[in-house]
Amino acid sequence: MSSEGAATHIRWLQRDRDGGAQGDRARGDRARGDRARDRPATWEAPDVRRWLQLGLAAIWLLDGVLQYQPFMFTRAFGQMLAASAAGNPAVIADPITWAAGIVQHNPTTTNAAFATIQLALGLGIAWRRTLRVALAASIVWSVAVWWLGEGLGGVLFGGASPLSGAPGAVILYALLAVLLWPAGAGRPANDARPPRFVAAGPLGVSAARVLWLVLWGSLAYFCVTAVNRTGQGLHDAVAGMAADEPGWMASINRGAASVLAHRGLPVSIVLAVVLAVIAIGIFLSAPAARVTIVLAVVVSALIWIVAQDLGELLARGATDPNSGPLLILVALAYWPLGSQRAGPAAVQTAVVQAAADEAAVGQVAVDQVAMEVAGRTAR
Amino acid sequence: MSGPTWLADVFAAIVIGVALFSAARLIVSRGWLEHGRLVQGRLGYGRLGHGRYGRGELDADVVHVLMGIAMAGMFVPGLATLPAPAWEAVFAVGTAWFAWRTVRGRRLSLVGGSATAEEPGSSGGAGSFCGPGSSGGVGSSGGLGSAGQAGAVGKPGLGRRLAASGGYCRYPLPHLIDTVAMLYMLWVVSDIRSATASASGGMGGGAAGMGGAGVARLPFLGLILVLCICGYIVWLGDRLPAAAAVTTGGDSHDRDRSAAVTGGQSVTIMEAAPATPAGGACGARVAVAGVTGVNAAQARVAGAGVAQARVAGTCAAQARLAGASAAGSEVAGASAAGSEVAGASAAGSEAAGRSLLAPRTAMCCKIAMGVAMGVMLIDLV
Repeated sequence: MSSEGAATHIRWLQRDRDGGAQGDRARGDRARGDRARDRPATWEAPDVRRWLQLGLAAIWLLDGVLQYQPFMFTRAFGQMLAASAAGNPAVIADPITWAAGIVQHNPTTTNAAFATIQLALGLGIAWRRTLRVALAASIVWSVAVWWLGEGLGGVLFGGASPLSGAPGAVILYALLAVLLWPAGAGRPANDARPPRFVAAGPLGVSAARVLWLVLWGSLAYFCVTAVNRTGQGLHDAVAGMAADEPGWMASINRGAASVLAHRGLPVSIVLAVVLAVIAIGIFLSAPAARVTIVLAVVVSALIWIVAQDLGELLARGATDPNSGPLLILVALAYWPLGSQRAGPAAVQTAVVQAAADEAAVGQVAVDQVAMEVAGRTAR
Repeated sequence: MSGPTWLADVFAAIVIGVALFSAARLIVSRGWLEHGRLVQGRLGYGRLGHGRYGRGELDADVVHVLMGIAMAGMFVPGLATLPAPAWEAVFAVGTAWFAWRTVRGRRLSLVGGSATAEEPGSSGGAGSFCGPGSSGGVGSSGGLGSAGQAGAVGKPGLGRRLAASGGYCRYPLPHLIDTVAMLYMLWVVSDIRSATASASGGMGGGAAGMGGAGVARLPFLGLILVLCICGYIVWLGDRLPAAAAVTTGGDSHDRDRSAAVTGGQSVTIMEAAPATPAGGACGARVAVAGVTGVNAAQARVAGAGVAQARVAGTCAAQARLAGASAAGSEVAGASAAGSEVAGASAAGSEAAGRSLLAPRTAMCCKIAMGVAMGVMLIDLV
């Protein structure tokens, strides 16, 4: 066989062997038939969105593993759930009490189911074939747990604080599932325009920004609620975390608590201002938005380490890593994508596919194809 | 493990199942018998019987067998086989082995080319499905033929690295973490058992109840290990489709495809259809490597792109276009192209010829083992 003969049979490897385009097949046939025969056997290196999805999957997985802790198989877990009803209006609290009763009566069965569901969500997001189903299920599960397990994070009775994980860590899973929903679901196939940031993919820029504003704006608001602006409010919250923590973590708590002692009001105001700046900063230009997101990541990390004790993962009884890592993931989903991201796989694929089609039809020499690829991509 | 007994039984069954699978893989792949020849690249895949046998991961499979047996004893004390010090010695050896392989792989990748620069994240190739983070770049499952070259154009040490990996897993770092986690668990379990024994007047506590019997030392290390394992699990889960591609590999064409799909960071591979007259090695291939989102370092097409076209067969031509201006083109004859054209080098053909044995099941087993290990670690932390 000659090399010219080989060149006439160029085809895409992603396609099924039997369904691959023959050299003389028209481009339309290829587009029509092979898309349906595409199998998930093809694998592309993760892009930014996919990496963030994998981050979310890892956190779900960690949640599932945490749910297998022995403590969760006892009645104490149900009692912990029941405690979240306190302070909420009856319409919210009654279902919580009902659900907690079920868990208390069947702690082993229910907790095994909870843990397995969370494991399945993590694995489902990690496995591309079940990504959408898992993300959709995670939204439903998160909302249910936010209500029945966290009492809506205490947002209805003023007990929420960003330091303790307001507005409830689990609702951030739902938010992330929305923001990281596979982009392009409703977009034309030939629309290779990249979104301005990952979160804008499924929702559009405006809606994504509004969600950001609501999230960080609400955190700023919670900082200055009556409970949190008292002189010792923040001090007590941080100092109370030291119990059951390893020595080094407890010492961090004690140090932070001593700084916050009797300074609850000014610290709350400063924190509220910082969070408000973060909330607004996403609407600024790309460089300013990047600074805003760096600030959001730093603040989230500080809160996670100092005030949330890494979600109390080192103390027994944690059910999730709390809101810190999730806020960081949310922030990364808003990172402005620069012009260099102009090389997403979709664009490159389109360019190379066009070259291959020409080669297949017109027996273009292989080196000419490659030259054309380079030329087009350079443009 | 503390908690419900049936849960411990389930996890014990899972890890035993993984151990059995790994043992079967060891036997079927015959890696333990043929290893010497594998390393030297003398074993043609006709000898192994392509399609019937595949390449195993000798060290990874062995360590999974051992981990399965050891963890079963942790979950269910009745299944304990060796005393803890013996297991600690075993996994200390395993840790040393994988640490050495990780360092060596890192060194080879540095010698072999700018692998880390071109394939950041070094996921470099899902090919071996052993894990992320090391030498990067080449799909060992599929072979050198396409993906390796697509992902690693211009790496002189590539063939040598492939040949050197032989029947071992390509990415030892995750297994290093696994063995360290095993050591940690054994250490903590021994600690807690002795504390329990002394507290209960020498009755000797089993593994059951160890979670609540005491406080683990270095809990932060345990937490880090759990996070690493969770990351590894989702990394594997993301690459399950790549494993599916490998399992479909039947002839040389499909092997190339598998390698292309799984290896390196290649995004788009075009290849000459093999349905051509004699000279099956002939083909035209255009590989455009590394186009992943914002990852400009990998992008060989946009900006600093390289498009590589290869024609192998009676005449072999290789064209490389580097940079936007298509910097160069190389055309070589069959003899000159021997080092890079598919099927030309012994190591390359050997690696290309043997796909990984049951890669998808192996990945699922690693995921299951990771989950079991994560549960055990969290119980101890």
